[in-house]
Amino acid sequence: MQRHFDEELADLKGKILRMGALVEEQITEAMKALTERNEDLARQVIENDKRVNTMDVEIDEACLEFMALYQPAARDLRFITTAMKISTELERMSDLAENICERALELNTEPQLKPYIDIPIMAERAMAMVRESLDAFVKGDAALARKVLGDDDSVDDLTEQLFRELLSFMIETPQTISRAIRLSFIAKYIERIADHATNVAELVVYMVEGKIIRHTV
Amino acid sequence: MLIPSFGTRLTLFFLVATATGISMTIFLMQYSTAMAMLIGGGILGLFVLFPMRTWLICWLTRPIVDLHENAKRLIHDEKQPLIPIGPNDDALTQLGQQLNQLATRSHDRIHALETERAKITAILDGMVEGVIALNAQGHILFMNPSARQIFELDAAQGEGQSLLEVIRHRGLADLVDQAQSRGKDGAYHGEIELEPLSHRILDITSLPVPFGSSTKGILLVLHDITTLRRLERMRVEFVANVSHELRTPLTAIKGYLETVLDETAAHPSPHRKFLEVANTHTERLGRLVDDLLQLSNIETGKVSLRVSPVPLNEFMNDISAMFTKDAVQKKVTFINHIPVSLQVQADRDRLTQIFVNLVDNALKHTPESGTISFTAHLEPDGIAIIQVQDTGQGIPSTALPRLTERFYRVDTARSREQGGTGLGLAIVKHLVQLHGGHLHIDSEPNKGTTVHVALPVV
Repeated sequence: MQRHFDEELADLKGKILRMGALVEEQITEAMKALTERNEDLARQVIENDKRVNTMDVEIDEACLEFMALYQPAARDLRFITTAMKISTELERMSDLAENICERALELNTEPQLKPYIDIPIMAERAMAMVRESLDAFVKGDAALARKVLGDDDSVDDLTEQLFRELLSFMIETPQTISRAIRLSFIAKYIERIADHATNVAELVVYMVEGKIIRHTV
Repeated sequence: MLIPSFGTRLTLFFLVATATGISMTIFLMQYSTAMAMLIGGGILGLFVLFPMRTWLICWLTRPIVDLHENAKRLIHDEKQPLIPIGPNDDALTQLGQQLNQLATRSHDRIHALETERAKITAILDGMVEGVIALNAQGHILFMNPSARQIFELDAAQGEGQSLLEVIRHRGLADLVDQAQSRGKDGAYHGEIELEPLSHRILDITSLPVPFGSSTKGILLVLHDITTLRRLERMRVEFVANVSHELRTPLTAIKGYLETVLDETAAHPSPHRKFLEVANTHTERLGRLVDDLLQLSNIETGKVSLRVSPVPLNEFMNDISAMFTKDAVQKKVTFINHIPVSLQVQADRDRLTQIFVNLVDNALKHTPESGTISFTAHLEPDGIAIIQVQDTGQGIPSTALPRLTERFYRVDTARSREQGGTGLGLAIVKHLVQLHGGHLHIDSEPNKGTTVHVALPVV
C-alpha cells in the first residue's frame, strides 16, 4: 500500500512537471512567434494549447482519484490540493500564450509598429518567474518561492511604462491605434502570466509550510 | 626463539596438570591431618595452582588470540602486512595461511575492480558527448560531466532524482517516453532544441539497456550540434543572399545583350557570334542562380505547398506531352502504365517540377529509339511509388549515392554541354521530401535507370 502511495505521488509530480515544461515552452514559442513574426509557430502554439488543456483535466482526475483512494493527510493532502491548483494556474498561462499568438497573427497583417524591446524583457522576466516557481515546487523550496513573489513588481512597472509609450504612439498617429492596442493587450497577457507565476509560488509556500500567504503580501 | 606449536602446548598443559596433581597427592600424604589438609590445600590452591592455571590458559590460547588480532587488522587495514606464519605445520598455522590467501585474493580483486572503474570513469568523464543513464522509473542513475555541462547543472543535482525534476524539458521527456514505450526494440534517435532552457540543439540517441540482471533502463547519449546547425543555417542564408545579389546585375547584362543582339540581327558581323556566346552563358548563369535560390528557399522553409489530389495517369500524360517534340526528334517513346484510379496528395506545380526534371534527365540519357516508361503502385502503408524508367546508358553504382548532391556530375563534360545546372536532382530530392516522401534511384549500366518517387496518398 505504502509503496503504491509513494509511487503515485511521484507520478503525479511528474505529470505536473511535464505540464510545466510544456507551458514554459508555449510561452517561449509564443514570444518567438511574436518577435520573429512567424505565423506557423503561432498556429502551432494555439494548437498545443489543447494538449495543455487535456493535461489539466488529467491531473485533476488523478488528484481526485488519489484523494478518494488513499485519504491523504497533512503534507500529502497539501501536496495534492496544491497540485490541483497549480495545474489550473499552468492551464491559464498556456491560454495567455495562446492569446499572445492570436494577437501576433493579427499584428502580422500590418507592418511592425516598432522594434520590440520592452516586451521581450518583460517576457524574459515573466518566464524566469514561471521557471523559478516551478523549481521551488520541485525542490519544495519556500525561500525561492518567496523570492518569486517579490519579482512581480518589476514586471508590473514595465507594463505601466509600455502602456505610456504606446499611448504616446496612439496620440501622435491614430493609424497606429489598432496595432498599439494589440501590443498593449500582449503586455497585459505577459503581466498576467507573471501573476499566475506568483500564484504558483504562493501555493508552493502553502505546500511546504502549511501557511496560506495569499492576499496577504 | 622456538615457538611451540598449538599441539605441543596442549600436550605440555596436560603434563603440567598431571605433575601438579601428583605433587599435591604426595604433599597431602605427608601431612595427613584434616586441618593440615584444608590449610595446605587452600594455600596451594591460592598461591600455586590458581596463577599456574591462569598462566597456562593464557599460554595455551595465545596463538588463537594472535590470529584473531591479525585477522582483524587484515579486515580494517588494507595496507597491513599479512598474518605472520610460524614454522610449524598444524591446524592453526594452516588457518593463518588460508586467511592470508583469502586476503590476497580479495585485495587483488578489489584492485582490479578499482582499476576497471577508474578506466570507465575516465572514459565517461573525458567524453565530449553527454551520457545519462535512467532507470525504468525515469530516475537518473548516472550523468557524466559533459551532460551536466550541457544542461548547466552542478554536481549536487542529478543522480537519484527523476529526470523531469532535474531537467524540465518537454521535448526530452517525450523522447524518453518514446524510448520507454519502444522497450527492447533498439535505439531511438531524435533532435531537440533545448529552448527555453538554453539555445542549444541536441542530437539524442536513446537505447534500452539492462543495468544489472533485473533493472532495465535507458541510456541517453547527447551530442551538442548547436554549432553544426548554426553553420548550416549560415551556409543556407549565404547562398540565398548571394543568389539574390547575383540576380540583379545578371538581369541588366541579359537585357543589354538582348538589345544589342536584336539591333545587329539585320547585318551579321563577326561580333555577333561573340555576343551570342555571351548570351548563351548568361542564360545558363541565370538558370544556375534561379536553381540555387529555389534550393535555398526550400531549405529555409520558405516554400509552402498547396496540396490537392492529383490523378497520376493523367498527370504523367501532361508531362510527357511537354517533351513530345524532343522525343519525336530522338525517336524515344513514352509508355504510361499508371493505373487510372491512382491519386496522390501533392502540390501540382511542385509535382510538375519534379517530374519535368526526371523526364528531362531520362530523355537526355536515352539513346535513339529507346523507351521511357511510367509505372506506379500503392504500398500498404498509404504510400504511392511512382517509377520513371528509361533504357539509357545507366549510372555506375559508385555514383548512385552521390547523385542528389549539389553540382555532382557523373560525366562532367557531357552534362555541362547538355546545359544542366547540376542542381536538378538536389531540387527534386528536396521537393519530394517536402511532400513527406522520398527518392530512390536504381541503375544498371547500359540497361537503364529507374527513379522511384514515394509520395503519400492521403
